[in-house]
Amino acid sequence: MNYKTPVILLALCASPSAFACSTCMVGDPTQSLMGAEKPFENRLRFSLDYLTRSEELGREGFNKKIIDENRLSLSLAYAPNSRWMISANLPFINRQLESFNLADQEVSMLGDTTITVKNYLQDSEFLQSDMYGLLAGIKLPTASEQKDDNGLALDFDVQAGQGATVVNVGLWYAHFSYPFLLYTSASYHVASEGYQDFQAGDALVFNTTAQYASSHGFSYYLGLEGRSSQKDTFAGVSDPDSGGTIIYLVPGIIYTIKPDLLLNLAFKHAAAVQLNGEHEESDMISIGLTYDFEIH
Amino acid sequence: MTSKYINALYLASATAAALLSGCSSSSGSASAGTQLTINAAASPQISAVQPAGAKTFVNDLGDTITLTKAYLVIASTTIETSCDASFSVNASDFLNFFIPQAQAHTSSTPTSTGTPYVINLLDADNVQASIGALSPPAASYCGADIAILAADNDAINLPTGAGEPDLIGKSIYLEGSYTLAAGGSGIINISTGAALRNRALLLATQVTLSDNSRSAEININIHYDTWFNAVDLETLETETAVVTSPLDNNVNQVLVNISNSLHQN
Repeated sequence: MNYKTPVILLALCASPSAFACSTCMVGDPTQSLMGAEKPFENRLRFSLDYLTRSEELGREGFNKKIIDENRLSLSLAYAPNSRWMISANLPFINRQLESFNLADQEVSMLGDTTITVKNYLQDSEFLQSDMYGLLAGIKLPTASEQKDDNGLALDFDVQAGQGATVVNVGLWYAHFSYPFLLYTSASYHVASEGYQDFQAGDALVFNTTAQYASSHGFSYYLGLEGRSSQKDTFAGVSDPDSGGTIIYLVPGIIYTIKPDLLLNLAFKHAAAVQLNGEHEESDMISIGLTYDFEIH
Repeated sequence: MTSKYINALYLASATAAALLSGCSSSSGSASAGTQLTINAAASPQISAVQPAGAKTFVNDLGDTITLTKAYLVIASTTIETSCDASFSVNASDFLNFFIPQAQAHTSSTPTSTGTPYVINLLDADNVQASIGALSPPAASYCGADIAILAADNDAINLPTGAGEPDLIGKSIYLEGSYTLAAGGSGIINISTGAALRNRALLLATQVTLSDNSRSAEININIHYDTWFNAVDLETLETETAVVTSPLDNNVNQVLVNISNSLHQN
C-alpha cells in the first residue's frame, strides 16, 4: 500500500490558500459529498477516499476464501454548465487473498477507471431545493490481469479489475433545504465478459442519504446503500456463492476543515444481507477528503 | 482568479501524479498452496511384477489368464476427513452398479478430481502415473472415495491407434484368453459402462496437509491379478458372448473383484 498520495494531499490542503467559497456560487452552504452536489458552470471537485473491507466466499473446510481489500480512490468531477457533471474515478487497490488451501495471493495496483455523466433535468434556479436527473456511467477494464511467476493468472477474486466493461444507467433525486439534504439514486449495471471467462450478473445499485447540518461546518448523515445482483458465472457455470442482495446502513459525518475542503467519515454496516450461497461481506470504514475548485 | 486556477491545476496535477507514479507500479504475488497428487499403477498382489505388455497371471482357482488389453476408468477420487464404518481396506460386496452406464464427467472440487482418467493396466507394473491432482484445504485425510465410471470425450489417456477400443461410454474393457487348470481354454472379452461407485478406501497412511507439509500424494495400486478370483471363466465367456451384463453372476464377481483390487500403496 502506498501512502504518498494522502500525505501530499494533506500537506497541500494544510497550506494557506487563496481559494474562496465555491459552494457559495449556488447560494447554498450545504456540505455535500462527491456526487450529491449542485452543479454550476465550471464547478470542479476533487476527492480522495480510503475504504477498507473484507469478504468471505465458500464453505469452511472446503473452498473458503478470505479477501481483504484496501482501496484509495481519486475522483474528479467537472460541470461544464448547470445541466451536466462529468466525473472520473481511479482507484488504487490492494487486495489480499487467503485461500482454503493455504495459498496466499496479493495484488497492489491501479484498478478499473470509471467515468460517470450526471444530467440535471430541471431548469436552474437560485437556491433550488428539488433536483433530479439521469445518470450514466462506464467502467473500463484498465487494470491488467495479474499473474504469478509462472505466468498463471492469480485468482479472479484477488484481481484489481474484472477485465470487463461495465455500463450503467440510472436516476437520481436530491432535495436541498438547509440544514437538511436528501439524496437518492439508483442505477442498473450490465457487464461484458471479463478475465477468466467471468461474467458478472446484472446489478441494481441504490442509495439514499438523509443529512442534517448542525452548523455550517458540521453535518451528520444516515444512509442506506444497497446492491441486488444476479449470480455471476465462470465459463457459463453459475457461481452459487454470488449474487443476492445486501444493504448497508451508513452513518457518517462531514466536517469542513477549511472553506471548500470537507472531511467525511463513514461506517458502513451490513444491515440486511441476503447473499446467495456461502458469501459474507464485512462492515466497511471509509474516510475521505473532498475539495471544491471554482474556475472562471 | 488566475491564482486559483493555477492552484487548482497544481493540486489536481500533483495528486494525479502522486497517484499514478506512486501507485502505478502494479505488483502481484502468490505463495503456493497445498498439492495432493493422486497416482495409480498396475500392481500384482501375488504374481511377479511384469513389464509393459500382455499380463499373465494365475487366479485363486489355478486358472491362467493372459490380458492383451485392459483398461479401467477412474472418473473421480474424493478425499475424506471423516471415515465412518463404510470405509474399509477391502471393498464391500454390495457395490452399486448402474446399468448400462452412469454419468461420466463429474465436477472437480477442492477435494475431488473431476476428469476421468483411463488407466492402461498393460503399462509396466508398479510405475505410478498421476491420474489427477488436488489443492485441498489443510487437514488430515483418512479415506478416498474412488468412482469407476464410463469415460467421456474429455477423459485423459484415452487409447488411440489401430486396434485400440473406443473407450467412450465404457468404464472397463478387457480382452485376453484363459487356460483352465483342469484343461480347456477360451477367450475373455468384457466391455461395460457399469458404474462402480463409492469404493470407500480407508487410507492405511493418513495424509496430512498443513503449513509445514503442503504437498503429498496418494498412490493407488490396482491388483489386477485378483480380478478373476472365484470366477468360472467358461461361464463368464458364455455370459459375455453377446453383451456384458453386471447382473450375470460371473461378470458381477469380476466387477466386485476390480473394485476390491484398489488399495493404497
